[in-house]
Amino acid sequence: MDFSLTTEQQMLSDSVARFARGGTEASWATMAALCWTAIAIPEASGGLGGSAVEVMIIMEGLGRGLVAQPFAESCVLCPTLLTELGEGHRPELQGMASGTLRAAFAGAEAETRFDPLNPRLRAGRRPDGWILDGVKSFVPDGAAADHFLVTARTGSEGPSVFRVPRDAPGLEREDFLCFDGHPASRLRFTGTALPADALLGAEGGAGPAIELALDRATAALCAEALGAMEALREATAEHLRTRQQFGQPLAGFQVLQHRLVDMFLACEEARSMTLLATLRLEAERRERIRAVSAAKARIAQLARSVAYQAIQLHGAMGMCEEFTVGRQAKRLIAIGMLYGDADHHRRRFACA
Amino acid sequence: MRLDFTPEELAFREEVREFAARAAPDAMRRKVRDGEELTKDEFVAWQRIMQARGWAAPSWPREHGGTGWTLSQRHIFEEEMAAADCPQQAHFGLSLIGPVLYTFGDEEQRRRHLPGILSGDVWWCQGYSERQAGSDLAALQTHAVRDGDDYVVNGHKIWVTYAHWADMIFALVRTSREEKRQRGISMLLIPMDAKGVTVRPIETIDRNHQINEILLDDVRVPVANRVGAEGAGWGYGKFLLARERGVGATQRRLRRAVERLRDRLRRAPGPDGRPLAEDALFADRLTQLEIEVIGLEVTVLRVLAELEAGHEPDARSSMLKIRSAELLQRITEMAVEAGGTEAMPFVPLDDATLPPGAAHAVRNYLYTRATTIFGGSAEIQRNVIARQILGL
Ligand SMILES: Cc1cc2nc3c(=O)[nH]c(=O)nc-3n(C[C@H](O)[C@H](O)[C@H](O)COP(=O)(O)OP(=O)(O)OC[C@H]3O[C@@H](n4cnc5c(N)ncnc54)[C@H](O)[C@@H]3O)c2cc1C
Repeated sequence: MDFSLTTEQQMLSDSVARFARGGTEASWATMAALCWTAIAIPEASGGLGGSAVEVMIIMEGLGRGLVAQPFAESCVLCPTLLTELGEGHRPELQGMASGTLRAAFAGAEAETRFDPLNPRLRAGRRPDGWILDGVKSFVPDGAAADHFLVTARTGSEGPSVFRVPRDAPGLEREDFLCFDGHPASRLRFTGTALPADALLGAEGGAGPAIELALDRATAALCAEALGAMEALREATAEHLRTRQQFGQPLAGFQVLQHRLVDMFLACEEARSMTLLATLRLEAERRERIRAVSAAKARIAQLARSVAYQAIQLHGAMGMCEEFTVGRQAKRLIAIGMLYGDADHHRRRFACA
Repeated sequence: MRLDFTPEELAFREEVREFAARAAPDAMRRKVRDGEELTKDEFVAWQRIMQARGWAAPSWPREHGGTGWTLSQRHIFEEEMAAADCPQQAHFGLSLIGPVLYTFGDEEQRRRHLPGILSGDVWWCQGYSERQAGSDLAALQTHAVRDGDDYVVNGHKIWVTYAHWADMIFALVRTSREEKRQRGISMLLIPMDAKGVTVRPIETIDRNHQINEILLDDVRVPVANRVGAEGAGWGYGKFLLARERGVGATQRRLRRAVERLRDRLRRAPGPDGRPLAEDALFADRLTQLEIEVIGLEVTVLRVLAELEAGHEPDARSSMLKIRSAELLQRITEMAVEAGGTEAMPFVPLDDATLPPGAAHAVRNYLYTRATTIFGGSAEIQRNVIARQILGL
């Protein structure tokens, strides 16, 4: 058993912390310049071939600093999907590794709730390719993506994945900001014609790749939540120490001390769960699913309770958009819902 | 013992029900149903409708223009209005400053201010909190110094709901420094257009502008605008907080909120493509909420019965506030859970459209976090119960 970071990992962690504190401009270009965009991509595909631990370190730092960059989507989920579908040779991966090309995963649909494996969006065959019809209702960071990896059902059993450029004909995009301030889009495909090679991997055979890609992204989100939870716990402790009411610091009230202790316990449990998910990503399918879903189910709950406590203990200040506390709390609530909420992952854990 | 209303009260219920069914314009009713915030104009229009019916002030005594209803009648009234998705009346004038004025104000103050509250023409806001005086309200620093027939007021107020809509503010200010901090506080009625009053918006996490900061810079306020005696403002403030926490409209709205949640679950797609209402996990949580709302409703009736029997309002109102705030938080939380990722989109960009109701659900959910903060936080209410009921 060893949960310590290597020297390089510690350096990465420090560098992410500097980045997230705004020591360096917290932009996509900077992340690319630091080669983080390449970290989760295999060397054979032009990446650095880093492990899930490096991803965890980066995401924890982004969460701590409330940096809104689509790292989990564009640098973990989408590259995994491509490589697992046997498309590791695609030039897109090089672009993704260098940060010049961004991809977004278009999986969620209003009708299918959190089930990524049974899309309703239809892909029909035509002589020289495919034609897509349907709606993807929630595509994180869709507006900034150069292409979409879209799940669809064809005539055959099982989901397929198609690569769709952002300017494909018959593709309409609506953009919005989510309640946590992150951008997302809705994609409407109406007779969107695609060439034959738009299909990634085998027709109907994308299930395992989608599952693994989402598991990796979910583990990454758990790490982001952990970072945000720790930041809120520290900010709240600091607030209670400095804010005076009734002639004493709020930290003097034992009931508030206990709340902070509860936040601390939540953070510790979240760290354990994040490590579990991260270190089991390479395990066989069932073990991996149980680890990732257990982590996500629990972290969704813990993150929300830390978010609520942080707002409550900050009083009206916690309700202000201007302060980081409320925005970080909203991000935690959102993470709880992304790629499946606690209900979804409890079920998935139990059925695995 | 009985848990039922009298035949007279049931007849009254019929009368209210009939009115409630037709009272609110459809657009207003829809907004209430969707949990959308009313505009100021809509609040005012609603108050006019209520006044036309003779029900401008359900909780006031007759001699001041109220209905003179018993507590049971008021309870029935609130229940029926909630069930028919009628809006709540704006409460700063009606529930807060109005009762202070007819209880402690002088004749001139009543004559000047009560009619505008009844008609909805004058909007009031509540200026208590300051940056350093939240839960510890007695720490307030805004001070008023006597200068001839005026007070000169300096300081600030913060988190003031709807200050940007208000014509008048009732503010607690320090008129003297006393050994006991509560002693030197007075209540002043200040026109919002007085020279030296500046209102600054504060955006909340629901991305809404409801609360404000108010700067008071050499604001001259006639001494005649002081309510009651100088230095007695703390008592009025507490009188008013008790009303804010007490048996109120919120508790009667929970049942309907649960019903609306049920509707939402019927429409939302759950796992396996069946409606979410048929999902065992959701159905169970909904049932749990429903049962807890019933528990609160019966507690409300018990408190009502005691008040009707002549008991003074006491810290039991804190118990109602804690429970109703926490239930409301869970109901609004579940409405967002029901949406799944469909509940995430919040601000449309360019000409995008949002899933129907998504933004309102989230806005209510986020805003409702404040119900355990304002009007005495959940922690403070527990302190009050510990001290006053349990004698700890
Ligand atoms: C949406 C909204 C609308 C509002 N509208 C108005 C308005 O119209 N007019 C107005 O005057 N004010 C208004 N307020 C202010 C509100 O009344 C205060 O926020 C409230 O009194 C709490 O004060 P605070 O925010 O300074 O928190 P603090 O008093 O700093 O409290 C911070 C935390 O410490 C806890 N705490 C404090 N003291 C104790 C203690 N002794 N024991 C245990 N825990 C304690 C609190 O419960 C809270 O969790 C509004 C607030 C909000 C959020």
